[in-house]
Amino acid sequence: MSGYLFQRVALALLSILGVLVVVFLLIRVSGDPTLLLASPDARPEDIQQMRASLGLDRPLHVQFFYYLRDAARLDFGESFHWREPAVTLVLSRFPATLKVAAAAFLISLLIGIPIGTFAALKRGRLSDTLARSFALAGQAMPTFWLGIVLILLFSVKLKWLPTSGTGGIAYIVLPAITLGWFSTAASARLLRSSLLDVLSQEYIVVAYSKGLKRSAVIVRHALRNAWIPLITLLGKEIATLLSGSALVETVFAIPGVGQLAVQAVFARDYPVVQTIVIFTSLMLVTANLLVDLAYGLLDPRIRLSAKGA
Amino acid sequence: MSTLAATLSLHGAVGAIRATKRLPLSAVIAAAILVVFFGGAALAPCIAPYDRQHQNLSEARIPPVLFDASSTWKHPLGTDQLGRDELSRLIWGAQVTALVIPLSLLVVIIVGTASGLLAAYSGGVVDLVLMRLVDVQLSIPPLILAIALVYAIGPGFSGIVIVLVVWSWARFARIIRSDVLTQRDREYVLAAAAIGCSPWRVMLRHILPNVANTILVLATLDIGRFVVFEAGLSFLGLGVKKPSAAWGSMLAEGRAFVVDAWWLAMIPGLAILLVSLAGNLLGDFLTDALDPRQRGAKYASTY
Amino acid sequence: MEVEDRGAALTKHQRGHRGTKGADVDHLRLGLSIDRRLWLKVVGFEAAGFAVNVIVGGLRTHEAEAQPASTRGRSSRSPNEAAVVRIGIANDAQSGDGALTGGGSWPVTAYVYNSLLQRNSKNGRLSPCLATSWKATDNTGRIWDYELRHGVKFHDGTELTAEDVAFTYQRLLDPAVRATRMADVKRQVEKVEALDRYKVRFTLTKPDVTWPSISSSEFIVPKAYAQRVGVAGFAAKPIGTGPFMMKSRDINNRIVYESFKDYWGTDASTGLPVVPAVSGAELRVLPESETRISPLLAEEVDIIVNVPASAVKRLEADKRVTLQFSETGQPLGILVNSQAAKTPGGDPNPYRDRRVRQALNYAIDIHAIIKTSLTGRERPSTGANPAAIGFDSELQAYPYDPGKAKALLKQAGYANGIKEENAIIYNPGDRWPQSRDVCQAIAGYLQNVGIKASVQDLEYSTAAALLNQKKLFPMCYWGQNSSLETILQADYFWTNPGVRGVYMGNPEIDALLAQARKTIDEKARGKLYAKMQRIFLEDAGDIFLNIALYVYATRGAWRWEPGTSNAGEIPMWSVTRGG
Repeated sequence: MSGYLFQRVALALLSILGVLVVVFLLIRVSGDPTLLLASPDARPEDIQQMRASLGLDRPLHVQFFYYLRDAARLDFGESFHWREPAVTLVLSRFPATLKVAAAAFLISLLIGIPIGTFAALKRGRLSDTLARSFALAGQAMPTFWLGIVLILLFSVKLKWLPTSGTGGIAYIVLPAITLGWFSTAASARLLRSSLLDVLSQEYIVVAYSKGLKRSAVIVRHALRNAWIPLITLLGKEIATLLSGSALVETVFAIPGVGQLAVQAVFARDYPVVQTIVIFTSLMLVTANLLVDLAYGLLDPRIRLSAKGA
Repeated sequence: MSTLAATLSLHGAVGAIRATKRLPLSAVIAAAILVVFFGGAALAPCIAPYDRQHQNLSEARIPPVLFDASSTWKHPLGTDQLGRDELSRLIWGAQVTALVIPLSLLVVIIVGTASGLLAAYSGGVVDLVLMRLVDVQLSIPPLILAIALVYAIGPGFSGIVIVLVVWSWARFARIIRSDVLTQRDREYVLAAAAIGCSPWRVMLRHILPNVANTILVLATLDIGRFVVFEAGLSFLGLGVKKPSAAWGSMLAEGRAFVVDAWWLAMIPGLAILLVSLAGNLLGDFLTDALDPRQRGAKYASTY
Repeated sequence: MEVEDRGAALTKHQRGHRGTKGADVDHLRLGLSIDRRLWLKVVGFEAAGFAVNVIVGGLRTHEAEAQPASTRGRSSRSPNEAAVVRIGIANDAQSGDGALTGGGSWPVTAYVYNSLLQRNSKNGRLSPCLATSWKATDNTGRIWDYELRHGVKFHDGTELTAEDVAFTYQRLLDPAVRATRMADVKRQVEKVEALDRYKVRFTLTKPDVTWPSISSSEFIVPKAYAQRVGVAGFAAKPIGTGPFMMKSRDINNRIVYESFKDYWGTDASTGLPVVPAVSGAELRVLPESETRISPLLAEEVDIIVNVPASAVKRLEADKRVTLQFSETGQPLGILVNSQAAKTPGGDPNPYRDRRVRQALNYAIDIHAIIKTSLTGRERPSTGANPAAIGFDSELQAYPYDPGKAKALLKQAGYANGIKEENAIIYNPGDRWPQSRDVCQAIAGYLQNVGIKASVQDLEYSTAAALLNQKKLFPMCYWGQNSSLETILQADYFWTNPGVRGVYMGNPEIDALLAQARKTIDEKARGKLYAKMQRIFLEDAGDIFLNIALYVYATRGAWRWEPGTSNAGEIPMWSVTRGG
């Protein structure tokens, strides 16, 4: 296990380093920020001085070294637009994003698992077709549009829930459904196919032949094994949820990380853009690492194959 | 290279039809939707009722027919806040997506397949480097990466193509790689190498046709994903707006009128949903037909 | 902990509110009709020469003429029964530090600070604020002495002195602060000094009779505190002399204020110190128009700014809501870059030709735009604030004449129109009402005459920065400063070194402006301004649009009066809760 652990952690660290390189290159491609920062009547020497103060006059590899050093100190500069340290700004937006993402995650499990199980057990029947159609439509649905439809229906017409903004639980319901929709469909779909796989295995047949009740077979034997692929999906789901936050937060006017990212692009605010890319990636890599470790614990084959390799 | 793509898709299509005794209704409908979509976009100058630039402020915000007494068959889907015909806008707006998607797909197929083949067949350092690149790419939430990319290269047509390619190639490469790995030690590959075929020849002539089904399924599934992703970027204001607003931009504009003119947000949204659904249905059908053992798990777990 | 307390207070407040709902309805209906009448009156007055009556600061010495706008509408309510007013705004300020914010974020910082002078929110006149009197001491308008009000307290309890004022202006020049107006101040001010505890002297770089109106916009900050906490510290916890203390600011989400008990404002009739009639205020940033309306209807906020034109009809029919219309006098238009020699692509700049600029104006139907994209109540602009001195009300806006536009383009050698990359219209975010729709409508009109115009969105402060650096080509939606003293914002016209002069240059206007800056007599100055306005219009410096009109919606028993001087401003001192 420790070999597997070590390998996973090393790969995660490598990925983070890769992300840092990508971000560094992207920011350098995007042009000289001093031209945007400089006041209208700035003289060339003023601009030169500003470049120097931002360290942009150094050779690229030296800049990269300082960039890594600053990254290690979690110092990504001051937001051009908001005039605050980018890290403080981005971190202050995370709670709003995580609240919605957590709710969406919960929804995807609470709705996706029953639908997937149900569809697999009723394979080929009308209810299976319905469940499959839901999953298909769910994965094809543009979430931002779904958000607008939900607002129109539940806020404007029925007046049950607030349209947008932040506040109590009521404010989270619609954004969470919108954000979780895709993941719900994806987990339902995956659970169905993986459960079908498991149900055709010999040990299930054996379990039945031993006279076990159907529900007992499904819960004790089938679901337990069918969930393993679902766990890998969970790691991917974090990516979907973090990604979707940009759209959902824009639709529902939630002051979260995604909304900030979009605003930062329009404001050409690169310290904020880079901080958001790095922090969300950090979360994603950590989540995937945890999933990998959980996977290793659940499925001994993985541990062993890693040891072999 | 495009002939390669054409051969691949022909190969796959023939295989798919041969594999199933009859076409399911869903696949027929899906194909029809895609034909209407691409055809409509291509023929926009002939079939759009109004010119790209047409605007008439005195006809602003007319609802679609059958929804209100003030609606008119002159504008079957109504008009927007500037009196532009919604149906025409939809047709013109499809052009952006209809052009972005095949182009991005082509690049993704080339880049993704090439890196997958290369990584699997060469192994060693090449494999290591390529797969770590894939890791890095999959470490950044896709839309966040897209936002950062648009920040760096600016919005616009080429920007969107790059974003879609960057988003999808890693997934492509990874799946092709694992497919090739299962083929690499097959007898026919070993035999080809033994009779002195160059590694390139082995890869392109012998292995590639055997992973063609996977490529086709992945590409088809990507249609739906690309439509939604491109629309999402446009919705955030990071997409293509010229010469016509893409569907996502139309939706974003319509959002400001969601209470006073609901159709402005609903219609482009439905259009996006239909096209992406069609892509997914077709992809599903191909998966079942070409790769039945997988039951979609291979593709579903890697979105 | 603080957050929870606030939540509890709000719920209580809402509960109390519901109890009186029935009684409120009639009251509100009344309010709506009164507001409409008031609106008609204002328009009528302004057109009839309301502008002529406006007398502005100039060289005259003003003795403290009672209280500014602050006392109006205030009853003798005890502060105990006052409540927190919740306002939905469109944009957060870039910073809590007033020196670091740009134009669009006025309401966020305006409550915290005062400036030396202020504008009467009714008639736009300059009136005393932290300064009680001001005069030019050298008779050319180069050296200005300001006498400060005694006994004004900052939120930290220290008294305002001339040192603080001098420090405020010096701070704007400090490169480490990177103040938004640094370049402007540097160009205008040579030095600022404290003559004694309550007297400040400004020495300008050159004589300028319009200085008082310019100087009225800087927020005065306490020297000792600002020096102690530094730039970042000050932005995090800003302190001023204003009626509200900023308690907390969750960027782009919520800003909470508490009334300042030692606020210097005094009631002119009783001479007693007054505090705002509300115990506090809460600004909520609600960027999309629909996201502002529904919280208002759900009673989550009491007042919202920038009601979209498309929702006006719907809200007018809603008896729970009072709509208020406020014309700020700001002339809106599309800046057209006639200064650059070449386009970014290297073509000769088509907009240097006056005929092309005139064609732009003939090509658009401003009345149709007002009717469809705006509220229908706006007036077309003739390039200047209708309330300004010297405003020429005889001037007519360009009529809609696409035929003439095409003919003019042909004459100028653009019979085949202007290509896409030379016809971008930049739209600076949500700074002005429906600017996006207006820009798109204009693009459509321009396409009809062969100009392949398209709209590109930019965030407001980014647009401002790019504009200042001459990087936006060729067109940008903008609202000129609506100052009453300068009929047209002076800087706008200085071909050299003007901040936005890059967009428009006319030696005749430059000469007139230079003369006006030395002309002490107001009538004579007005005449020069009127001439400038005529030249500006004929020369088609802009695509002339309309005079800015803002729509506010208020729900519940709250009462307040919109000001005319600043966009999105809700004069807090006028806010009361009736019923």
